[in-house]
Parts: sequence; structure tokens; C-alpha cells
Amino acid sequence: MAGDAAQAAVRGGWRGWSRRRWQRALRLGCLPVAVLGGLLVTGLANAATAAPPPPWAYYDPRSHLIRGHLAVSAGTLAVLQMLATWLMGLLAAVQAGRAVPGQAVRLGPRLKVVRRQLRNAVWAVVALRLMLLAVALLGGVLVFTRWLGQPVTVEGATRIQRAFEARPVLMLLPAGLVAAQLLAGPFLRLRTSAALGTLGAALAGQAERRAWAAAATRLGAGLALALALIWGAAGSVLLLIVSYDPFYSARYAGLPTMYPLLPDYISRVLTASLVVGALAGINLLGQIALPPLYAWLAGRVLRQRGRGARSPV
Amino acid sequence: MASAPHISRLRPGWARPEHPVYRLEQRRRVASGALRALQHGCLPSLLAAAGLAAVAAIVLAAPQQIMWSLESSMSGTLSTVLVLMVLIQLVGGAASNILMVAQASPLISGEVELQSWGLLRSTTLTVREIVLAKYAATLAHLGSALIGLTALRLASATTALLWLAYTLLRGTFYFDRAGWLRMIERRLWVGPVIAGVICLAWYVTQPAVQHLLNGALGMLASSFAPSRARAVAAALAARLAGWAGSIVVNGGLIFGLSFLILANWAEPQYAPIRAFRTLPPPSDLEVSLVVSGTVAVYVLAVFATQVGLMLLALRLAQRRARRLGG
Repeated sequence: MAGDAAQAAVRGGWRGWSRRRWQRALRLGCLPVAVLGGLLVTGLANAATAAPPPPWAYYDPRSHLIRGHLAVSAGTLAVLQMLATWLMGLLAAVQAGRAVPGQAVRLGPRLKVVRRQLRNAVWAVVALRLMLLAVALLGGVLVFTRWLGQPVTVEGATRIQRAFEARPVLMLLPAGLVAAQLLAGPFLRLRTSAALGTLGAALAGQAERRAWAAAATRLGAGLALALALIWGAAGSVLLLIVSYDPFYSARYAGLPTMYPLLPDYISRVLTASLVVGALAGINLLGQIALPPLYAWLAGRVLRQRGRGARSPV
Repeated sequence: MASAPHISRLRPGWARPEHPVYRLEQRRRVASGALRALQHGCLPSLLAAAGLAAVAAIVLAAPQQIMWSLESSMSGTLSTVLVLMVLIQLVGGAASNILMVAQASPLISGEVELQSWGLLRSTTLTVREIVLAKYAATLAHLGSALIGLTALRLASATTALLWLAYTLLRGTFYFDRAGWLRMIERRLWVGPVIAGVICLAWYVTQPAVQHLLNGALGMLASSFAPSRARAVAAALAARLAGWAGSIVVNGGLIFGLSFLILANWAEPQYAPIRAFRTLPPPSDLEVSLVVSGTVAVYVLAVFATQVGLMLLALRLAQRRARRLGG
């Protein structure tokens, strides 16, 4: 019997694979697919957008070409890693939702299994992010050093260089936080998504609704975060500019700067760097601190339901 | 969930899972995988579309001019999010309306076609209970779409308010301090604020109103058509006619009222209709109150019409269902 099944599987090829085998193949294959797919899509995007430099770029055609290729590569990889991160988070939430039992048990081991199942998917996202980081580092080398020939001219590069020379720590610290978010982010997102999925599934109750509820909770949390960022930034900026500059005045000198001793353009770069660093830091802290809270809430809901089920009333 | 029994107790008897017709309709839907996916998949789909749109707005719109003009960057991001969310709502709302009509229209006609309506009537349940229990089960089936659309309406309403604040404070009144002071001192803001709150409430409650109205329309078509196919076709045709009719009627009314009030009554010296030229020009406060009052009354009238049509459709469906055999 077993021999017949094996022969049928060999004869049928991949069409004879079971669902479980497909899932396993996908789990194992996502890392090479991400690396090869990332390289292929980036190469295709560069090939599709390759064009000779226009006449107005006659003064520095090399810089024009390199700028274009760097922008296309970074943009393509940024979109790919964003989609991969989003998909990985959704998968983690759905799998965690499916793993939630009807009544109270220890959720920790189940979440560990889900995280282990998606380990390759996380490494696939990390690989895409490493490729993006490599493009950014290559850009930095091409723009700020002479290691690969004459430096490439980019608008704003001088301002960043001056800001770095004026306050190196204030530029390096946020850059480090962003790099940490870039590399550790997928692991933290997996934890957060799995915990959110567990909470959603625990709240849903009925077994057939758990996976959908987990997905809805993960997606709802993503939407809420994006909207909180947009509304928070827009509201704070509006309050700031209305309190300093409510009506047009010829004497208005602009918003107070954080670094009054430095030139305005350097101050702006440093402020932007600090804001980006603060956002990355808050995001990292949230991703570290919130998953245990979500898992605890899910466990509490399940324990309450278990008590309700055992109650004679 | 712990609160579910409390919520269930607030519902009328025919809208509870204990009701036999309600339970029957729910079981029919649970048996189909496609209907189950439809039931649970609407909310994640809407949230996914809105979340990706919000991230796209942050990535594409926010960095523009952020270093040199914070207010332009923020205002641009808000308007991009608003446009994307309204588009998602339009598409999602239209799809949800069509699904609601298509789900409700076979409810009675299907029973008649399968010759089980007579059997259902032979029970101790009244026609009103049977019709309303079927209606409630259909409404509950697409409840996740309703939750998603209402959440999107709330999000887009908040975004619109922030964008409006930018437009007023950094556009309209930034160069007109006297206009701002006049607005505060003469209380010109009272009328627009009341009208704005009414419009906002109408905007946020529209998914629920449309949900109920489309279900009632489907029930009406279901009670008049002799087969499921005809009922679905008739209900969808009625829904499309309703959309076209409401666009024409509302467009005409809004244009006519704007022409009469803004172009003639508010500025009688330049009025295209001669009869208005003899009138004295109204004060700023009068213009503010009349325009705001007209907007508020118009929106309330639209709401009352929608609720009235829904109740009428349900009443007619019950009346027709009493005469049905089969």
C-alpha cells in the first residue's frame, strides 16, 4: 500500500503532493525564493528603467546613471521587503489564531511552535532587508567616499555631511536605531503578529472564526498604527505652527530651532534625524513590550471562557 | 465572549439565535464554504486595503517637502489618505450593497420556488416573525462588512476634520485675521458647526442605513418574484435604479438650492432671478444660519427618506408574503 502511494506520488510529480507537503515546501523554499526573487526583480526593474543620460545631464552623466540605478534598486527592494513583512505578519497571525485552543491551556508552547514554523519566512524578510541595507551602504560609499572613483553628486548630500561633522552622535544614534529596526524588526514583528493573532482568536470564540479574527486583528492593528502616526504627526505639527504662527506676519522668523547655534539647514537635518530615530526607538520598544501583554490578555480571555464552560449555571 | 449574551438579550426575539427561522437561515449559510468566507472575509479585506493605502500614503506623500514645508507635507498626506479611504469605501460599500441585495432576495422567493413556504406558514410563527427573522439573519451574515465600512468611515471622518483644520487655519484665515475675529465675535461659526456635526453623523451612519435599506429592498423583491433568479435580477435592477435616481434627484436638488440661496438670496444685487433683486441683502449671520440650516435639514430629510423607504419596503414585503402560497 505504502509502496503504491509512493509510486503514485512519483508518477504524479508535484501534482500528487499533499497539502502538508506543499506547506513544508513553501516553508523551506521561501528563503531562496526571496533572495533569488529579490535579485531578479531588482535586476528587471533596473533593466526596464535603463536609459542613456538626457542632454541636460551632460555635465555629470556617470552620477546621473548611478543615482537612477540606486534609486530604482532601493525603491524596488523597499517595496518587496514591505510586502514580504506584511505577508509574514499576516501568516503568523493566522497560524497563531489556528493554534489557539477553545479553552484555557498554556499559550506559550503553541506560540513557540508557530514562531518555529515561520522561522524561514523571517529569514527571507531579513535577507531582503540586508539587500536593501547593502544598496544603502553602496550609495553611501559612492556619494561620500572616493573608494569607487569620483564621488557621485546627490542633492542634500553636502547638508547631511555637514550635519554629521557638526553632531556625529546625533546622526549615528538614529542611524543605528533604524538599522536595528531593519534587522531585528522581522523577528519582533513575528512575535507581535503571533501574539495579536492569539488575542483575536481568543476573542472570536467559535473555532471556524478564529483564523479570520486573527487576520482581522493583525490588519486592524496595522491600520490603527498607520493612522495614529498620520493623525499624531498632523495634529502635533498643526498645534506647533498655529501656536507660533497663527496669522500671516511679515516679521515671522520661523519655528524655533533645536540647535540655534548651527545653520538652519544643518538644524533641519539633525531634527529630522532625531525624529526618525525617536520613531524607530518607540516602534522597537512597542514591539518588545506589547506581545507579552497581548498573550496575557488572550490567556485571560480563554481562562474566563473555560470557567464559564465549567460553571453549572 | 463574555458580553455576547448581554448583547443578544437586547435584540428582538426574531433576531436571536434561539429563533427557529433565524437559526435555520444561519445554518444554511454555515454549510457553504463560499458563504462562510464571505461572512468572515469582508472585514480583513477592508482592513488590508485601508492599511496598505495608509502605508502607501505615509511612504509616498509624507516625504514630499517635509524638510521645507511641514504643513504642506502634512496637508498633502491627509488629503491622500482621505482620497484613498473614500475610494476604498466607495468600492467596498458598492460591493457590500450588491452582496446584501443578492443575499436577501432569494429568502422568500427561494422558499416559494422550493414549495416550502406553505410548510413554514403552517407553523405557529407569524409572517412578520418569519420575514423579520430571515432579514435579521442576512443582516448578521454581512455584519463584518458593516463593521469594516463603519470603521473606515470613522477613520476618514477624522482625517477629513484634520484636513479641514489645515485648510481653514493655514489657508482661509491665515491671511485674514479680521475674518477670523468677525467669525468669533458674531458667532458665525455656530451654524456651520451644528450642520457639520449632523453631516458627520449622517456620513458615519450611512453603512448601517445602506445595510438595512438594501436588505429590505432584497426582501421586497423576494416577496414579489416567483423564483430566486428573478428575485435577484429584480432586486439588483431596483438597486441600480435607486443609485441612478438618487444621483439625479440629489444632484438636481443640490444645484437648485445652491442656485436659489447662494446665487440669488445671499447676493440679491447680482441675482440672476429678478424677483430677488428687490430684497435687502442679508447679514453675514443670516447667510451663515440659512445656509447651515438648509444643509442640516437636507441631510436630515435624506436620512428620514432612507429610513422611511426601508420601513415601507419591509411592510410591503410582509403584506405580500401573507398572500403567497407554495
